[in-house]
Amino acid sequence: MHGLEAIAFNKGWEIAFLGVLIVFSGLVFLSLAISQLYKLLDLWDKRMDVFYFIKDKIRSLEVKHPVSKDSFGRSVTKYQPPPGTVASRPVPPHVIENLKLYKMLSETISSVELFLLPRLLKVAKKRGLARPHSTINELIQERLLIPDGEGYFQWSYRALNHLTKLR
Amino acid sequence: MEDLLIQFIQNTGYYMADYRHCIMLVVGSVFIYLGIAKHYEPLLLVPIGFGILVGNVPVFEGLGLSIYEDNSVLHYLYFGVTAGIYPPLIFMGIGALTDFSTMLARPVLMLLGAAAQMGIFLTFLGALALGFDPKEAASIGIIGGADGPTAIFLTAKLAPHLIGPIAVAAYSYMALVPVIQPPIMKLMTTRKERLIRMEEPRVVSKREKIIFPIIALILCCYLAPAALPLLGMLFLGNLLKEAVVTERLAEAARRPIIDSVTILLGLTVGASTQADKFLTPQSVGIFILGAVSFCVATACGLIFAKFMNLFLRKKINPLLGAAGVSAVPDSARVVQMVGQKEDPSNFLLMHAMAPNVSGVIGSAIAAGVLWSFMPK
Repeated sequence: MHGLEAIAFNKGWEIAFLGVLIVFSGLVFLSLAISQLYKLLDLWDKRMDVFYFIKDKIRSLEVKHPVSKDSFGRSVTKYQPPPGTVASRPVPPHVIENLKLYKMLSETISSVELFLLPRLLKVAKKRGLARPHSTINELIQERLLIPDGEGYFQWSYRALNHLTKLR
Repeated sequence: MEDLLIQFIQNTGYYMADYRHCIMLVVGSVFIYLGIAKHYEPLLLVPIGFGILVGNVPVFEGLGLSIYEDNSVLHYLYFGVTAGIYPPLIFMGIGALTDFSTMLARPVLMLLGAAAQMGIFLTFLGALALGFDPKEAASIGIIGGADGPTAIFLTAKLAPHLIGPIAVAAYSYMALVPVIQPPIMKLMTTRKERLIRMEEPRVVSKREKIIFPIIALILCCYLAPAALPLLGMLFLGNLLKEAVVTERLAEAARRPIIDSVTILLGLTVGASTQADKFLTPQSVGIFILGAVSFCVATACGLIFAKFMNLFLRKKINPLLGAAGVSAVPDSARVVQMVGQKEDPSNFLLMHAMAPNVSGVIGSAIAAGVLWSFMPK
């Protein structure tokens, strides 16, 4: 048997068609997988940023305006330091400079007043700022950076006042 | 004493040889000449050429000397070919030698490797039309993949009596890539197309190179499980290379293992081409179909590249389509050479490696698919 008859008898057309289809499909799927691989790896590297971004978005939906009282009835945004404490002393100039810098950094990591301290630290390190741990510690000591009682931090009224004066 | 002398003379190769042995000795010598003097794939042609000389020394049957006699040394070494052991080991070495980063940087070029494998199936149809049975036709068609180990692997499974002519045809055409491909490339592309420059590929991270063989193994072998021996070893070799921590194993795969297996494969495949089995009308048909298969595969790759350019904003140089045949790295070098003849500052080699290495994967998948379609 020869010619087209032999091809048809041995199912040649079907084998050839399916064979080409399968080889093409295999390499197409592989190329699609490879083309997305580096994007998936990039997403994996940024997984914590994505997590915090989603968390911030959720919080921003809950917090439409600055909260005046927390769940225990404590004032969150209006903080008045008791007289004679650290907060009533003048703030050293280098701390005010750092305040300006870190306030700008906090605005890049959170669209609301509240933010996570580890994120602020991470961003400060990424930007190459010197001694971020001790700088943040100083800001806390000077009561410019205060906790909200639920794991987040925010800038105190004292800090905001200093920033307003600088403008 | 006279009787002893006559008996001795009658047992010599000079007495038992005929014109067919002389033809094969010339063929073997030509292979060795092409390998050593012309540097055409010397690592393949020299062992094969010498094997042809070894296999065409006439021997007395029953003394365990011929490669086809059960108790001969050559027969034991030939077992690695007939049992499909050598090709996967060679593929492991190829994986340990291959850098897939150009393919990972621009995955769309993989489709050129897929297109070139159409030559395999078109030749399969041609072989059926000429009267070969389906298993023989599949073994002949795989020559178009321009991949010696794959051709030997599939032929050993489907048509072991054709290993000699198919292996010799496959390796001959692989060695003649610089002669066969350029005319087809010039015929099927315009000067303007040959001058297209490719954009710089992105940098591929180490993690991508490590994850790729694992993903590729799962995707390809789940689709075509019959390709597992070849692709499994290919991706193992590549993982050993990219993992860095297994550099010793990768070094073993790409030097002593592949070199030893290449010697044994070449020698035994060459020795299997005994004159009475090789010089048949069937072998002539195989050689002709093999050449057609190779040319069609090259043409399919070129045509598909031009087809892709209809849809791509950033055009690719269609010469890369010719690199879709899996003669690594010769066809990529040919693309570079033809491209540089038009523009000496156009460097296409690394871009051509992408379809070249995807052609290796494609031809292995094609072999697996053909094997699974054949009646058992």
